[in-house]
Amino acid sequence: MIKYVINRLLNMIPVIFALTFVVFTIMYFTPGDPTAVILGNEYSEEASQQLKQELGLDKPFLVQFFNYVGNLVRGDFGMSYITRAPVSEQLFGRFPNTFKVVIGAMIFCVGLGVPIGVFSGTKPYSFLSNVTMIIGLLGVSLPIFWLGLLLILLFSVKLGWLPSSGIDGFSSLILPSIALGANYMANIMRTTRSSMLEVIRQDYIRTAKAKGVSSRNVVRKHALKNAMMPTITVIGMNIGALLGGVVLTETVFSIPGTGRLLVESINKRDTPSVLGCLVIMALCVAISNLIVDLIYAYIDPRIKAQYSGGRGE
Amino acid sequence: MKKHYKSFFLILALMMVLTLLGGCGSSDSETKADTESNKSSGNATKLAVPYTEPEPGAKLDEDIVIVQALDMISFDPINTSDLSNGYVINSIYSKLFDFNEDLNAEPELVESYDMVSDTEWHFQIYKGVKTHDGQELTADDVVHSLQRTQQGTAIGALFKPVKEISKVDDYTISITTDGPYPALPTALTHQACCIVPKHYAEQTESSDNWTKPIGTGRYVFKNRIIGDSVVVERFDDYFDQDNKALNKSLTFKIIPEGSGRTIAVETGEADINIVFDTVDYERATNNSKVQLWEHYSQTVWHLGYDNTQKWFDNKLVRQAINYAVDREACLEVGHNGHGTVVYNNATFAPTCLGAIENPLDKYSYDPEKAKELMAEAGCPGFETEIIVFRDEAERMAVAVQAYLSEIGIDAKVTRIENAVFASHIADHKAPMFITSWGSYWDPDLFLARRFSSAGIGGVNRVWYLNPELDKLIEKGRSSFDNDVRAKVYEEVQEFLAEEAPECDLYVNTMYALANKDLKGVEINVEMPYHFHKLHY
Amino acid sequence: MTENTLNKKYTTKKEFFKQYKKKSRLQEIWQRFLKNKLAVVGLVLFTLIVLVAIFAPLIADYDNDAIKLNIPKRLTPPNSEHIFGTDEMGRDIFARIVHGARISLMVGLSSVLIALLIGGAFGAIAGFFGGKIDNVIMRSMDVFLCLPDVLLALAIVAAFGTSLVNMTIAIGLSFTPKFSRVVRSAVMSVRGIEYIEAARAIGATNKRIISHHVLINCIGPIIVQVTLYVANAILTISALSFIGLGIQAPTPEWGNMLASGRAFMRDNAYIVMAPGFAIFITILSLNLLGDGLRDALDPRLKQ
Repeated sequence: MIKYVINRLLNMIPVIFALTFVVFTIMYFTPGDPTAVILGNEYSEEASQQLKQELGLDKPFLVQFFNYVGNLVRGDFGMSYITRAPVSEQLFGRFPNTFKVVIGAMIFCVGLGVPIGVFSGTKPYSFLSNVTMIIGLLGVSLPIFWLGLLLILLFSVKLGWLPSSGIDGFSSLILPSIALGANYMANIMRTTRSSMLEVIRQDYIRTAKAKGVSSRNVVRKHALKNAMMPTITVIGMNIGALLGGVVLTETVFSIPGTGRLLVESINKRDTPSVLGCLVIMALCVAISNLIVDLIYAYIDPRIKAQYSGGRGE
Repeated sequence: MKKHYKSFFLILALMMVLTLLGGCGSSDSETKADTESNKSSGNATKLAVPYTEPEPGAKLDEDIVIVQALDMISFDPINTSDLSNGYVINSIYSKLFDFNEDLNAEPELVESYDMVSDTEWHFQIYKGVKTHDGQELTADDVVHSLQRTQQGTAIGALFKPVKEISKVDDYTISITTDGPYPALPTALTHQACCIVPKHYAEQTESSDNWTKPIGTGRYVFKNRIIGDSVVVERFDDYFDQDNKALNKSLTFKIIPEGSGRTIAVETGEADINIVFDTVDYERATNNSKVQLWEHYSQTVWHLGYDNTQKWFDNKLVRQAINYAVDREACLEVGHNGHGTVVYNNATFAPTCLGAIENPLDKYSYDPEKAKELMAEAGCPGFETEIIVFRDEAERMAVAVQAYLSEIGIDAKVTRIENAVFASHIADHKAPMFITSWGSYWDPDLFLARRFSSAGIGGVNRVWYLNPELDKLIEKGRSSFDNDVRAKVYEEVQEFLAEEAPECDLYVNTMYALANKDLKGVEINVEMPYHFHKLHY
Repeated sequence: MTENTLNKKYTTKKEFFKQYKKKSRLQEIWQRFLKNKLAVVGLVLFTLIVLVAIFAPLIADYDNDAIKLNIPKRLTPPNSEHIFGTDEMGRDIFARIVHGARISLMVGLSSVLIALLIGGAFGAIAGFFGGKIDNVIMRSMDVFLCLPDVLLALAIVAAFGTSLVNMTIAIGLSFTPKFSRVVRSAVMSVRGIEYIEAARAIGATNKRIISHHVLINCIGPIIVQVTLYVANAILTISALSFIGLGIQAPTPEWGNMLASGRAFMRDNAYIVMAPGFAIFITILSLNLLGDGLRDALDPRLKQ
């Protein structure tokens, strides 16, 4: 098992490295002179030259890249062109807010999507099942930002129950989590339902039922574990999408998180900050993919067997 | 799947009906017809006048939350003259003079002053002014700080007439000017003239780290989350104990969306919104839990352009632009009609010294005349860009874009962050832009800064240089008699109406939305201020 | 003798054997598709949207209704003259939505085309040749899996600016890795089938095998993915325009209409209804279409 973890961790490193390279290359070709942005009012030719030397902007591309990665490993994301403060300050200061929203969305997705999917999978032609199918269809097509605006209109403006912006306290997380999670909840619901349906029809379920095991136990003990696999895959695939969507959610709900920082930095042409945000988000996706893989490995005895010398089921 | 299609359609149809209803519903309840009756009944706006004494039983130890639209830029006072920076800067540092309701000077650090001659002023500061780290402020600090200001560009032309700043004794400084400069005290109210204690300034010079500022103001810096908030706490050793803060702390919170700021006050999340978006005017005047404060302003919203770039260097094209734009429409779109249109090209607000409503009676909304002028200039039309960094400006830019396209100018609207506006200007990357300018009553305080060489790199964003105008500005400064000066400034406005270096649009009414029970709300002609007086 | 399990009576032999005539695959697929009512709805809706986009200038005048300002009439709720009302500049929202459809569809379709060409090429090569080539190509595509597509598109837009062409390329490039995977798996699933062996046996070159046999059989799942990715592309362009890094004013685009109307939505909720609903319906129709195609092409995948 440990071998598997280490294996996956080692796999992650070159991927992140390559990704940093890609993102760095894209940002390197941004037209415009960063020294003009930094110096602002005090711009002059000599000041610009001096600054370029200080920041290492006059060195060749590869040298710059390796310097950047070297610093990155030590946690130094460089200095923001605009605030002249370390990028890591803003990045890590704002990241918890993004994290809260993403976790909230995940809880909403999984907490609601899985049970409903399981339920409607076990009772395929009931009214609830029909309703969930439709909600699933509609939910997948709702744009995050529109849903966010609608939620604000209903729950904040009309009813006044929930706050429409900011991140103080639990109640301000509810609407953003729903807006962000809705798409993926619908996805998870449909996947869970269809995999549940497929599993239910399997022979071993019929056998268990014939043996007299109650329906509930059938679901819990036998069906669930096997049905969960595609669901976990879908959850894993969606984490990346969640991080993409969090940018929109933060914009709609004015949450000071990494997503909005990314947009602000792009507007300000603050390249180190943009790079930092992208790297952090990629890292998050990589780590969460890793976690999902590990959970997968834990549940799926076949993978366990591969690494523990065949002692598994 | 087949079995669900009926219910699918049902739900889809339901959604459509709901969304359409939802759209119509809320606008029904507040139709324009109700506007008139709402203005008289309900919650009228109150005029914010200077506040005097707190009543007995007032709560003077509250934590006040202030919401604004833009993040501050730097704790270094000479870094920028941006208002969003000013709110915080003015709380942490003190100045020789503070500005009052009309943006005129009132002594703050200065105990007394006198003019030794027409060109030499002596200022005496209070003894025992403590800095936030316990040291005493002396003339050395003031001289060092003002010299820094003089060398920086944020204040630029305001200090051009200032020749020398020196120390007379430990509590007296002397400022010598090139010629008579009656506006000197008012110049010293600018936020770039905030006094930074010498030892702190020297420390930051070597480290370039301004993150924990030390000043002598009513508040001490507590903490800051970039992009989100700045917190300052009352300084109990403030030298003027009669005028210290009436609240325990101020939190400046940033909410970029106009409605978001209004909602923050409505829900009690914030105590006051100092950048009120007039979209919510009806709501605010109908809500008994909040109070809308207003004040006439001298903030002129204008369309500027780079006078050195192709076609903008042609006077006829500039005049054409002034005819092409419908200022009433811009006021409607930018501030929902809350303000007064101005036909001016010198950033004169109607209440400035010598202001004329429509110099030479020249301009009006006349697209035909604009097209004629463009033809006369031989201009076939061209492409350009309008730079903005605020929501209202963006809306106005879209309107201006449409008007310009009628006369053949194809303008793209580009939104940037306020932090990079200055560098865009410096780089000639802002061929056109829309922003606001808070004019002083005394035109001398902004004419040179905005329309002469002294303002290049500062707030002469239109890159206008004209020796004839420089002469007029000198003339306006040369007398201490306001009537004489007013005549000169009338000449200036007429001169610039012909030259059209920029296109002024309107002045907007200043508003602040506060909690109903919040007292001490003060607004001057540029912005809400004196937050140290806010209490319950 | 064939067992007669039919209840129909046949008069001639010809009629009788007609039922066993092998329908072309396309016809089979089409009939299966038609049976799925939701899929048909999706097709109809999407066709409608495409028609609206094509005939936009006939439905609503671009310069007069969609672009020209009409300040006195700003923020009027839906009425008989303006069915969706007017926005904050007095422009007719209906006209803007109709013209916005053009932009969304254009960007959506062309960006997916780019992804298909580039990603498809990589994927086909990887899937067909397998082994080391496959490894190399797939590893490099894996790198991009760590970055959500919106963010990759954002990065490209951040670097190169927000013109229409840039947006299309940015979104297209951000879909390329996923597309290459799709094509690769489709190719791989087909690779082992006997007729490929047969073709090889008669001496067809690799190139011909790929272009002729493999691709034709892969088209099915690829078309399904194309449909779903067009939906994704339209969503992405709207999202980018919403945060201000996409189509710029005054060009009407559903996303930027939502963004500029947002400040007024508290008292004029209708201003955010129509554009958002337009995005929703477009994506819904494409999703239904995609699902329907998937079910029609391979009924085994159905529940």
